[in-house]
Amino acid sequence: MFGSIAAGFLSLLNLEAIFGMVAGLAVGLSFGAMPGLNATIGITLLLPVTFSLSPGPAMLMLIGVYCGATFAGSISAILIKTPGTAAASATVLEGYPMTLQGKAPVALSIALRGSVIGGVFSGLCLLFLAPQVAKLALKFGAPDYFMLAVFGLTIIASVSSQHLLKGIAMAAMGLLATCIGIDPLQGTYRLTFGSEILARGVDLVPALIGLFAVSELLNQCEKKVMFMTRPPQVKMGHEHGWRDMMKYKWLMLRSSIIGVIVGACPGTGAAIAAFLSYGTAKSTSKEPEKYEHGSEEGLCASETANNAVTGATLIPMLTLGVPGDSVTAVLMGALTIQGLSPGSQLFVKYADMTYGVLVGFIVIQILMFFLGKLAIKTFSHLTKIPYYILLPMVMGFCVVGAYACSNNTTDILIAIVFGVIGYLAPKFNFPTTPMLIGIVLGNLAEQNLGRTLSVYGTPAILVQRPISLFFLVLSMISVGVVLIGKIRGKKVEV
Amino acid sequence: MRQYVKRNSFTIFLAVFLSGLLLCIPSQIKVSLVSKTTVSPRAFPYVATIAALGCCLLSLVMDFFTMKKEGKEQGEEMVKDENISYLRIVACIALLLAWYLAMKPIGFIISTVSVMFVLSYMLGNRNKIALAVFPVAFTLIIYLVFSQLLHVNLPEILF
Repeated sequence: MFGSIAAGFLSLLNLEAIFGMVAGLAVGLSFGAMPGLNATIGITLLLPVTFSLSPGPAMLMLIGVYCGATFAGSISAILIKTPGTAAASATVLEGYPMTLQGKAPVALSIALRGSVIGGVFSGLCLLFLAPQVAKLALKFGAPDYFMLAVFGLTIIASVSSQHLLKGIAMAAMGLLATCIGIDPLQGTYRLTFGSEILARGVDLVPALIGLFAVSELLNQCEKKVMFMTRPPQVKMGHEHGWRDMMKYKWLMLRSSIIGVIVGACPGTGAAIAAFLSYGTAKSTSKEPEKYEHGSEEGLCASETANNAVTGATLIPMLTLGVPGDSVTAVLMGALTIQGLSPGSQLFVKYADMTYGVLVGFIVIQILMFFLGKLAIKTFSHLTKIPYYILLPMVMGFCVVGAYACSNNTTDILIAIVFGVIGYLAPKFNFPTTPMLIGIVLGNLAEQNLGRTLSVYGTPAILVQRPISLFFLVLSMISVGVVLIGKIRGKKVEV
Repeated sequence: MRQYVKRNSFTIFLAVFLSGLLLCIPSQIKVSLVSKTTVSPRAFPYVATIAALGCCLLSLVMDFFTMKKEGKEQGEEMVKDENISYLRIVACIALLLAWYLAMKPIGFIISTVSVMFVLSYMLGNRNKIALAVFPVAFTLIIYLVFSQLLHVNLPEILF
């Protein structure tokens, strides 16, 4: 194995491979930072370019886009409260408040370093543990996925601890939003009221754009005095170094593990991992009151986890030929176009090329640190643009981004509706994050509960399988910690 | 009482909306025979609606007692912010809706240039050159990137 790793490393020492990694990262960083563009679009765009490259550099270029876009989504989330990608939806909760406090460089450096650590960790898992992790991921059945979603939903308790009832109400509204359209199990139309717009259902991206970007536009519009206003200025220089990041070493390790486990399970995704990690970090934090007011811990947890997903999603794709999401599906397509098929043959017959890609994945993370710094410097100029130009620009990207999801104008309407909700709800102490969590986890929970009951016939299986039982216990601990904290807090107040 | 209704208006609106939705579920979701072997398509909407409605009602009850306990005067009052322009909010939402409605009939370019111009002016842009150049330049860049480079079929009628 170590011989293959060394040979793989040597295969990276050529111009074609280096060009592939750098070009892929550059495209990924640009696409991720722009709201509405994402890794899937970037990879699809670069796919024809890879036809003229050898298989290894071709894969590295596309993986570069994937990793770059996943990190860069946090840049716009932190600077202008507009997550570039769904993976950065938890990042916005802590990143933007930090920007408002004048700590944008700190937030961006934490996001970059956390992403690199998460990426390197998942790359090492991909390199050394791929077959074992793939086996563990294969053991995940419908009851386990359902309990994973339930565990994810318990984050609501920690992200809305100030107004728990309103938080649960918003999460339920998010779940309700995922019920609109065609029922995933039986194909029945639900809550459409005869409307074609509702029949198409609610996609995550327009909802995300609405809840964060459109609502921010409305928040800025409401101000009477705004003729001279600009976004909070970013002056680079005061950023966190690696030494500062050492205080989050255990947090980053835990977030990386969460990212790898979630990423290895097909059908989950970086947004789920980021929220799980964020919720776990908050419930175990010594300073939970800082969360949602610019907590460095929360930012570090979500960014480390969402990038730890990138390597892990490649595990089932490369070892079993199971693509976990749209990005890995396109990557698998690229592999097939190059005349290779995923599976054990890849690690035996094409060991040099495969190990070259696996080692290259880790090299990409290191390159991302340097190119990411450049991207941060470039995109920090966004905050020098006055609001009257910046906000219409962001709006333009968001509207086209929402439209581009399915080439349909109804997604624009969905973004506007969620924007109005995202603007009004916080004014009455209804937090919007639980609604987003509800939308992210709704389908996963419903589909897998349906499968569980149709396969096993009884919900008792949820406590009989070790993995689902593990998540059940974690869920109970997660809720218990928040409730105990609230009871103790009340006693202290008395 | 007026103060209570004012500060809970969103919760009351949600409670009324969810109650109506709860009554609509049987007519909006048809149950097939398959559902007997698995989760009914009505199950999740029912659970979500009842949970949201229950939380809204509980929140209303708790807030009522909190206000009663603290006294009307001492209760948390919603401060009317003089710096908030509700007219601008309504205008902005109307503009976004107009953009959505106009995009198909008149095409992406004309609708986006118009919306960018109005939005930029609404947000305080009074520089005539910026007002003229920004909407056109931005729309064309967006159009070229998405339509030509990414092959997204943006609505085109006149242009």
